[in-house]
Amino acid sequence: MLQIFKNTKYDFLGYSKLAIGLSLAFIGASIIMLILNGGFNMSVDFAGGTTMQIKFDQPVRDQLPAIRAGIGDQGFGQPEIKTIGLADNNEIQITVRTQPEGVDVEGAIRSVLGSALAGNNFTVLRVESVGPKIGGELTRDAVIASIFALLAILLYVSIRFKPSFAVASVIPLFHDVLITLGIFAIFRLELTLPFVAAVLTIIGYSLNDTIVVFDRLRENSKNGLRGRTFREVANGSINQTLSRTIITTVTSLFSLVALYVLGSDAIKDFALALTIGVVVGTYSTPFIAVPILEWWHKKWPIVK
Amino acid sequence: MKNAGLRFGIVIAVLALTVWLLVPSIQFYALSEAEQENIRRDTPHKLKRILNLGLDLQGGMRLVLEIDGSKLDDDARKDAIDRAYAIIENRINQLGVAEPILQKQGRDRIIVELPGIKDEKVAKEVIGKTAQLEFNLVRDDADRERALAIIEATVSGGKSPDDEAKSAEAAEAKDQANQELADKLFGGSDTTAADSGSAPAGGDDALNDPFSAAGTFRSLIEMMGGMTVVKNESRARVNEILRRDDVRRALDRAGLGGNSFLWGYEDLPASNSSSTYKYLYYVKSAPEMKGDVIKNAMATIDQSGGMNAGRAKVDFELNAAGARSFTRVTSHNLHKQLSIVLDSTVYSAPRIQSRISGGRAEITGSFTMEEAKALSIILRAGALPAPVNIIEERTVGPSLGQDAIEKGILAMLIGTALIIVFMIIYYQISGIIVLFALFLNMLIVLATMAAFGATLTLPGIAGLILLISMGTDANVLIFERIREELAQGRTVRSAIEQGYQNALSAILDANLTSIVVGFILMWKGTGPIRGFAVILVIGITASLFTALFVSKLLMTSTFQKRAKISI
Repeated sequence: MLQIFKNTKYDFLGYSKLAIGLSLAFIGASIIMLILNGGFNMSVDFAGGTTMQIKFDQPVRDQLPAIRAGIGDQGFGQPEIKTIGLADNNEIQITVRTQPEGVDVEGAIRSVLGSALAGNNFTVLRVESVGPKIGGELTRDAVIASIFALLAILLYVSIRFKPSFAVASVIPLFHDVLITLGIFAIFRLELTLPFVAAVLTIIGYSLNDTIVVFDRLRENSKNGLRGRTFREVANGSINQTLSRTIITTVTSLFSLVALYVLGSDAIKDFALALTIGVVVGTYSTPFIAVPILEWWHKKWPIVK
Repeated sequence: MKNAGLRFGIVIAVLALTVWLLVPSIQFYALSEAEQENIRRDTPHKLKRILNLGLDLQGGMRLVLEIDGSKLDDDARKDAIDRAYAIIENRINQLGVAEPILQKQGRDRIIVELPGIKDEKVAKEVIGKTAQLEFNLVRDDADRERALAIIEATVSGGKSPDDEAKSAEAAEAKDQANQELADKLFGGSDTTAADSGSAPAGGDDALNDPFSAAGTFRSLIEMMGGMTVVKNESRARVNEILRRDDVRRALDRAGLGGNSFLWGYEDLPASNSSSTYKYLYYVKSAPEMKGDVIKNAMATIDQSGGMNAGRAKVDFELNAAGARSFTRVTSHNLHKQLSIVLDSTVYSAPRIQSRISGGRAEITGSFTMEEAKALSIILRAGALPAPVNIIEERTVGPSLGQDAIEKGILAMLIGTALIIVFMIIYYQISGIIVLFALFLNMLIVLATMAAFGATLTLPGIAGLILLISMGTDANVLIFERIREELAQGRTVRSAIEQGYQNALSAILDANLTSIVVGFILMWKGTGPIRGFAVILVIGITASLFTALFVSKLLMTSTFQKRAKISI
């Protein structure tokens, strides 16, 4: 029988101050980076605008300034242009952030490219064009759905466990999402529509992980603490579920890392968000969720 | 375990059901791209039981259109969306895109999804242009038969005027015979009798020309109730022939240049085959009137007490100019059909019963109320007063979509292989049981989606990944518990029993919380959030079944009589 951990007795809660400190420091650092970077790199999904991914027959690196100037003259602001892929320098992504109602931004960009780069034919691989109104609605819908989901979690966990467990399971969710957002802010990765789904998945994963440990804690303290401290019982519960936690995390990471390494551009960022989320979601159970419970227990004992 | 036989029966039944539900999808995706395209175009109903790939995965175009109702009064605004919807639906059908999806959203938005579209620029132009509602006279049956005969002769290689005259004569003779026959049968649709005359018309030429496709054109056109109809799957070929330069020239020479063939809107079921038909009308190209003369149109029930009493009809009202031209048109063309044409599609071709003056008229016939309503919307559509703006566009080129799918599948395969290797090394025979449970879990989710013709998108894949994680977790929780129980010295049988019992509360609470979240997101979420939530809810239900029922059954029946357990 192969076993990763056997009768471990790690003092997870002993590291909780350090862990919470690290998390806060990281969130602080990402906020600073967010300000320095001038906000999130919001895709046109949320901000409104037009993004086009274009593949040329020949490399276009030298013509980028001409393209930039040509589109800039069209009257919808300076475009953001970046090259995609490593090898050929013939694939670019153009993003324009303003989207006046009723104006065919895509058509205008096409004609600029046609004239600025005569002789270098191109194919449009992808177009995303979102009016400012829709962008705002998407953000609002996502926020409203999340608030209702969090309320439902609070209610369910309060009934099945205790209100203290409910609060302690919801706070780490904010932590996990903030850390994931922080990494996206630091590296200026684009926040797109699928990112919303990734965040929901992270929440689902982290919650599952927390509930499993809480369930063990509930079981171990069913007949009271019986002379043990709350910390001993909590640490014991985390250790007892440690093999399960590691196995589940590792198997989840198998598919995610494969998706990140092999996936197409659209999937890469998405897989990255999920990978970060799974790691952080696993970390937050012993280092954020259980410490909150312990702190709560000191003020208003949950079990005797 | 009690009722082990029954339990195995349930598992096998579920497995068989999922496989059965997935067979159409597997068959479809095993086809070549061209064959898939044919099925999408000709028999889209076959796709209702297939797991579709979202536009973000397979490529395609999604548009959100908004009707700018700011200049409309409340009354006009109310059904502006229905009118715009009718126009856009018609145009999309003309684009010939496989499986277009149209959806109304709220009171002023229409979502259009065109999977696998090749030229999104043309599509945007077609969808965005102004509506054209026209009234065109339908040509006599004799004219139509003459035109068809000329086309047939041209297509099959006979180009001499003699041949044309011959075939025209033949067509006329046949038309007469056809008319008589139709009268005898009360307008019954004896297609074989109607078509048999056409074979000799081009038959001689066909013998002389080894490359000709004898009867290719006439064989595509059938008769139904005295009207010409064409199978939906043959429409592309008919269009191609009608567009040919030599065909056009031949028709011009015969003095039939000012007319066009137009398709009807309706899909007509055929009693003897699974395919559907569309009417092929032969109309005068220059319209008698344009749609802007329509002031109002409404579906009502006939209260006249005449022979149509109680039936649905469409009343419409014309403006002053329209009333004048309508009087002229109806008096000159009594008993002819006047077709109602929106963007080159004939929606109805009522026969002019009498001279109509005064600017009020009605269209009667054997409509249902629904059909009458649809027609009244078309009549009003010609005068759509509000502009329609494209407020969101997402287009993923087919190459990009294809690339994403191939890379995604490779990544999934590698991820799955790693999980398989890990499970077998770590849990040995029990590992195989977990893998079977996970496999069944995925099958149930995919089969349920296929059964509803649901669409798999990138957010959906996120849902699937979370499901594999949670499904693995449920089984790992159980196995770790079984190991704990074994370590405490229990027998295999009681360790398995206790393992499942003790892991139950953790599995239930973790999964039920997620299901609750899933329902909330289905209720409140939109777009990608809802797609994710649907998969989550189906999947967790399946996951509870596979972990608590299937894997338990397999574990118990494999190990309960043994002294040692491979875990």
